[in-house]
Amino acid sequence: MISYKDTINDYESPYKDEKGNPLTFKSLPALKGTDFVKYLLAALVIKDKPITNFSNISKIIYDFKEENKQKYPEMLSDINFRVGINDYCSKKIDDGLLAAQTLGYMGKVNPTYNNIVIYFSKQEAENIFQSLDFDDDTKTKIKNGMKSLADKFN
Amino acid sequence: MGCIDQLRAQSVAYKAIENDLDEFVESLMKGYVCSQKDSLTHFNDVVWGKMEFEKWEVQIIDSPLFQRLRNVRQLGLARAKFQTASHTRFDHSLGVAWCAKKMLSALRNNEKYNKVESAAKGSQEITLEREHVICLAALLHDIGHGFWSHLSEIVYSSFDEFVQMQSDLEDILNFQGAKPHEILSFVVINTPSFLKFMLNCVEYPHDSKNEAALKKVLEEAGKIIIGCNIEEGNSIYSFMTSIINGKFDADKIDYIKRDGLSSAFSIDYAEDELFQYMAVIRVKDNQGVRADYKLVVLQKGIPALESLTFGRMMLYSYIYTNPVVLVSESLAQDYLWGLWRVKKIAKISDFLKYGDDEILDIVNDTVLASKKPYMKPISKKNYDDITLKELSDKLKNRAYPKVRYKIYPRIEYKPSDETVTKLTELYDRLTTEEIPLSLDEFISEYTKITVRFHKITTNVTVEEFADKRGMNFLDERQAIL
Repeated sequence: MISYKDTINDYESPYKDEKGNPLTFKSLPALKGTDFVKYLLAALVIKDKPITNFSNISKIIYDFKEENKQKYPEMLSDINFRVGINDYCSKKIDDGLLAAQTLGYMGKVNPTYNNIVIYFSKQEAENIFQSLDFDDDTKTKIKNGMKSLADKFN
Repeated sequence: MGCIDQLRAQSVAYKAIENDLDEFVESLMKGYVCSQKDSLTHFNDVVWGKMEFEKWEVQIIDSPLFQRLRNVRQLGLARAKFQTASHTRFDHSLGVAWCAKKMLSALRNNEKYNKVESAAKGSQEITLEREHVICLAALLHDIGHGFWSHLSEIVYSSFDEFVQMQSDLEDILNFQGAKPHEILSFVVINTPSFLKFMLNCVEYPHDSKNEAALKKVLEEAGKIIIGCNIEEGNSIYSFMTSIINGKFDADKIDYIKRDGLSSAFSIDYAEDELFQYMAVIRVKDNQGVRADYKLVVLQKGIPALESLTFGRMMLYSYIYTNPVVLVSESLAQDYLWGLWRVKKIAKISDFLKYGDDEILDIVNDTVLASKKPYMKPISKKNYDDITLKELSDKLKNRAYPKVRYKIYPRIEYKPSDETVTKLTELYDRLTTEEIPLSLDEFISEYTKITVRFHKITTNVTVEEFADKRGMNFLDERQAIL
C-alpha cells in the first residue's frame, strides 16, 4: 500500500521523545471499515449468495472478529463495536451499508428489510478484490477472510 | 487509575498528541476572561428557533476554543456547489446541544404516555448529573474538528502517530471505531489545559471546583463523544452515548435538517414525533446481574425514524457525493498534502490552528507560493507545473478540474459488432452534413440501441463514487488542470 511517507525521501515524525529524537510509530495496513461492506458483498456474490439475510449482520461480524482477529488483522482491525447487553452496534458497518445502498451495490428486497440483494456479477466481485490496494499475499488473505465471513450468512 | 491516566502511561502516541494539543489549547485560552452574566442566554437558530443556554454553557461557548468553530464550515467545500451551505460547526454544535436537551426533556416524560412496562422503565436514571454530562458532550462533540471539517481529517488520520493513537485508544477503552475528529475532541477536552479552564472559568453545576470530579466528568463526556459506553458497577448507561453518538442521535437529527436546509434540499421529518416515542428502558442480561439502560424508539415512532434514515441517504447522494463537491475535495486534498510536504501542516494541532479561509491564504508567503506539490504516486493528477499558490487560487476561484467519466461496460455485456456498426453509422450520419439526420431522430435511434447498455452500466459508473472523499476519486478519470 502506498503511504504518504513514500512521497518524500527524508520523512521523520514531528513528534520527538525526551531526548529530541523523532518518535517512530507502526502504521497498520488496515482495510478501511467503510469499505468493509463492499468486500463482504463481493465475497457473498462469489459464494453464490446474492440474496442474503442481513438482519444479524453486526452480531455475525462481531462473533467473526472475536474468533479471527489474530488471523485476519488487516481485514478486521478497523471494524469496531459498541457492545451492550444483547446489542452490537458498529458505526462503520452502518456507514458501509448506507454507502452500498446509495451507490447501488445492493438493495432491500422485501418489506421487512431482512434480506438484501446484491447487484453485481461474480466477475465484478473478483475485480473488486483485485482493486484492493495491498500486496498479493494480503489481497489473498483478505479475500479468504471475507469468504469465511460470507459462509456465516444464510 | 482513570482511563486517561492509563492512556498517558501506556500510549506514547497519545501522550505525544496530547502534549501537542495541550499547548494549542493553552495558547488559545490565554487571557480569556469568562462571562459572569447570570441570566439564561438566548441564541436564535435557523433550525430550532430560540435556544436557551445556561450560564456554565455560555462560559464554554464564549471561550476562544469554542469560538474557533465559527471558522470551520460544516460542509467543508460543499459551498462550491451549494452556495448557501456556509453554516459552521459552531451553529451545529449549539444545535446539537439544544436538540440533546429537548430529547432529554422528552425522555423524562415519555414513559407514562407510552406504556413502557414498569420493570423496564429506565428514565429515573436520567439524573441531573448525567444530563449535564450529556449536554457538555453535545456542546463539545465537534471541538476537535479541523478546517474543512471531514476533509482535513482524511489527511491527519493517515499519519502514523494518529493511527497508533487510535489503535491504542480502542484497545484500552474497548469501544467501536470513532471518527478521527471525535478522537481529537476526546483528546482536547481531556488535556490539562482544558481541565484548568473548566476549573477556573466555568461554573459547572456539580463540583465545579473539585478537580477529581471534573476530570471524571470530562472523561465521561469524552467517552460519549467517541461512542464508548459509560459503565458503573453492573450498570451500562448506553443511553448517554446513544443520545450523542448513536444510530438516531442529536447529532444526526440536527445535521440532517441543517445541511438539507442550507443546501436548498429541505428534508422534513417529524422530530417531535420521534422524541415523543423515544424511551430509556432497562434490559437485563441472562443472569439478571448486569443491566443496560438503553435508548429505544417505540414502534409508533418507526415512521419518523424511517424518514430520518431516508433523509440521511438523500443527503449522501445529493450533497456529500455531488460530483462538484467530490472534485473540489480531491483538489483540496492534494493542496493539503502539498502543504504537508513543505512542512506547513506537520503536527495534528496545525489542523486546528487554521480556519477554512486561512488555510488557503497560508501560501501567500513568497517562499511557499513557488513550491510545487508534486504528489505522485498518491495523486495521479499531473501537477508538474503547478505551484501551491496556483492550486490555492484554483480552489478560491472555483477553477476545478474538468471531469470526464469513463464508462466501463459490465464484463458480461459485450456490444455486438452489429450494435457497434449501427452506432458508428448513426454517429457518422449525425456529424456528416451530406446525409442529414435530425438530432431527435438520432436520440431516438440511439436510445433504442443503448438503453440496455446504459441501464447496466449505471452501477459501474456510480461505483466510482465509492471512493467519495478518497484519494483515488479521479484515478479512473482524466483530470485536466
